[in-house]
Amino acid sequence: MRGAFVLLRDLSIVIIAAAGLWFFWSQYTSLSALSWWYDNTQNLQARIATRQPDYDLTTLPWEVASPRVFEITQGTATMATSSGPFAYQAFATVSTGGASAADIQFDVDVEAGGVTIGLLQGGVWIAINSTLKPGAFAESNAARLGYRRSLTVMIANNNPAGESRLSVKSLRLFLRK
Amino acid sequence: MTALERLVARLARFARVVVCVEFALAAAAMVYLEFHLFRDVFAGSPRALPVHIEASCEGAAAASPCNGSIDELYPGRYRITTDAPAARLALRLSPPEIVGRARALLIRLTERSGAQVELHGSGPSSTVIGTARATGAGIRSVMDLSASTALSGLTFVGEPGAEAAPFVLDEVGFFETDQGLLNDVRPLFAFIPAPRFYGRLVPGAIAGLLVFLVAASFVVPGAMLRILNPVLLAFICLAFCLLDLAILYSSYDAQDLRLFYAAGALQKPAGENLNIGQWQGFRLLHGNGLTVSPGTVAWSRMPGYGLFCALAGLFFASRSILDMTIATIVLQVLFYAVALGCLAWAAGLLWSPPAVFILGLLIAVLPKQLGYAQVDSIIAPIALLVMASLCLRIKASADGPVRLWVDVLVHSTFALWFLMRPDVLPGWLAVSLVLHWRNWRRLLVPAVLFVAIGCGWGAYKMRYTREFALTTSSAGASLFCGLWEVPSRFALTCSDLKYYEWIGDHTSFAPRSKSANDFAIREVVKFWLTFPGHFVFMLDHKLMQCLGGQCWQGFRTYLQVALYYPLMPEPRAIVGLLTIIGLCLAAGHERRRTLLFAWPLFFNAPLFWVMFASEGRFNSAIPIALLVAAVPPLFEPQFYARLVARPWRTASVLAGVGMLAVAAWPFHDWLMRADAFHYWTPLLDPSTSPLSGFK
Repeated sequence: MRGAFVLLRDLSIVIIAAAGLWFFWSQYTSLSALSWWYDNTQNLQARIATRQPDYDLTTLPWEVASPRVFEITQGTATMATSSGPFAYQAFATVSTGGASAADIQFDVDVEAGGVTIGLLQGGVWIAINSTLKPGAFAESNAARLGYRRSLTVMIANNNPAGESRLSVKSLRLFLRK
Repeated sequence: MTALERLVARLARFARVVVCVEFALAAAAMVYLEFHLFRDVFAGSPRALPVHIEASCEGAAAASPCNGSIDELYPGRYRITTDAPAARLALRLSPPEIVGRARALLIRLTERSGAQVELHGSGPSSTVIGTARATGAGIRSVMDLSASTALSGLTFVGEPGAEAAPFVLDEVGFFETDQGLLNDVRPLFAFIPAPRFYGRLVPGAIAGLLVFLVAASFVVPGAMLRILNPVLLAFICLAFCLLDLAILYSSYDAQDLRLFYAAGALQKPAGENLNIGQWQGFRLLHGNGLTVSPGTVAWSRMPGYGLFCALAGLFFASRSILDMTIATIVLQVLFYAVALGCLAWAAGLLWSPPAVFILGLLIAVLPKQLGYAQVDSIIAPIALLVMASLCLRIKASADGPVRLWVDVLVHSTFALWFLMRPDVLPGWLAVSLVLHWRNWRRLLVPAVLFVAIGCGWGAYKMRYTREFALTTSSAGASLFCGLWEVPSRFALTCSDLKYYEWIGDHTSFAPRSKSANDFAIREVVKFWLTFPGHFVFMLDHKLMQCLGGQCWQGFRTYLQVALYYPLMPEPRAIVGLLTIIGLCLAAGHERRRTLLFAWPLFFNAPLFWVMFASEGRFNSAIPIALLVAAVPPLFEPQFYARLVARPWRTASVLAGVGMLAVAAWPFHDWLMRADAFHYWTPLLDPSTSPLSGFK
């Protein structure tokens, strides 16, 4: 009985030590990731002002998932989404080329509904910007890249009522080593 | 011992060292946090360049008078306002060699949508060398001055078409760099905006850290924790106090403490809740006595808080009333932390180190009101000192006859409370009788302290009021207000002005006089007898408000929300702790000790069910009493043994609490609708009461 108690006590100490390590590590990593994100989004404009994008709207290898309309003419993409409220519409998967971070900048006119634009790696959103209302939607975002070698730029519907209509006037992707 | 047991034992030895290191790291992080936040909270900005500013303005209408005034918030950082609607506000800057070093201009424009800012060069004609727009959102902005090195002045011009309004520049300052103006400068996670970092992320992390610390306190060697507890808990408490202030008074998305007072309480006449103590202290330090204004003493206050403010001024700064206010808040924060350290030391004489550590953590994380420079803010630390002295008394009494100095210490803490607020008197009397019922001569100690403080203050006030009152002259006003804090159809309402008006309508006394006070007390008691239903309803309503959270007093930040709310929301925490106290009393576990620690529940909280409760702001001693009385038994095996040994009593308490939980609010709702009972007048004729009268 005493042996079992001692074993339980010792195990508890080990668990507490492990939980402490996990706690410190998880707090540090999540806060440093957030700090990195703020640094990169706040200074993004200055960083990309003089740089040529690695990809833009016309050079990205777009594939379509379910949009009713998706056309790129004269440097502008016109899109009418499917009626799926949050369905993926168009995406472009590119090689990261060993980059450690990516910046995305876009300028969209939402005529009806809403839209989500962002970056995915391994099927997980790593940078995301959304709007639920019509009007100008110009944003920039940054994300740290994981070990995977590819990166997906995604345009998705964001309209609980169904179809959205929008024009993507520019979309630029910058990769950083 | 099996191989597995040997392996686990070896691992546990290593893990114990790891836990100790983690514990030290967590403590170091909190100590670092307080050093980091201290300047941010009390200075509000980095030190600005010592630019001298002269302000002048043009009225909105032609030839209308307009004057600009400048208050220094912190060296080089000013608040500049005009006393009338203005079209232009001009700031002349000097000396040029210092202005020339400025690279960043801090501006916070409020009370208008925006303004054009003209930058004037230092040439003879003072030409405009640049323009910019300042938004009037009331949020800090920083203007880059790196291209304007020869600056001699600024002019703020109202925007065309905007409604005429005074110029209110809540902050103006010139800095050599913009570092630390829009976000605090920190070595880690530097880019996360301060409001989010301190408002959400740090409290969230601390909540997790506290859970870890609680578990780790059982692993850290007890002897070490016993030694560390007082200092460690004082530092942790200081960190939490400062974090709360950094969240509530963030200079980056709200008003910092200096601006909060400069733009608020210190603009009002002396005698308001948030400025009376500082004015008393300020005037005392400048040789004008413990007065609020020339020839006026505080009618509704004891002298203690004014003296406390004067002490703060002596220790830290008393150059201006704003400096004095900030000094007071610094001292309040330090006092709170030191008081918790004292309790941790004294509690260590009674309870195991983990129990003391956990109790201390729970107290440190309680909501506080330390940003308010008013007496109610320091009742909590005084209550901690009272509890500490009671711990010492209990230990001394267990060891044999209690020495006189121990009793002097106990009563000195009560006397300190009395020096601040007289509401301690019923509790002080009750505790004195319990402590000294076998040794009546010891009652002389509290009696002497009471008479010394009461007569001293009474005699001092008499020089100004020609009346002698041992305590305050506001009990009548407080009782008057207490009547109207609960829903009713009575016409009178709770405010100082209404009270003055009511006294004026029914007597020839000065409203703040002792005679008016005596009249009000008499009439309120008569009113209770006239409307016993209203009296019962008032008690019930305020009791329920108290249980519903008003007894867990203070401003909640995410620090409390992240920790308490997921585990136990306030009403449940109060009822849970009351249940433990009930179990201790019913099962006979440390009855006397429990009653001693819980005295504020029985002799302080109920006072405010009949007097002015002010939404519970006087109740800061209640959660401390609840925690000190109810948490330690949870760490005492005898407590559980008693509960098991007396199952019927235990079950009765639990059933009683269950019934209370189920029936209290429905009963309150019924009472609220029972007009026949509420306005029942079985004893006295309501027409003879100057308080009765319906809407």
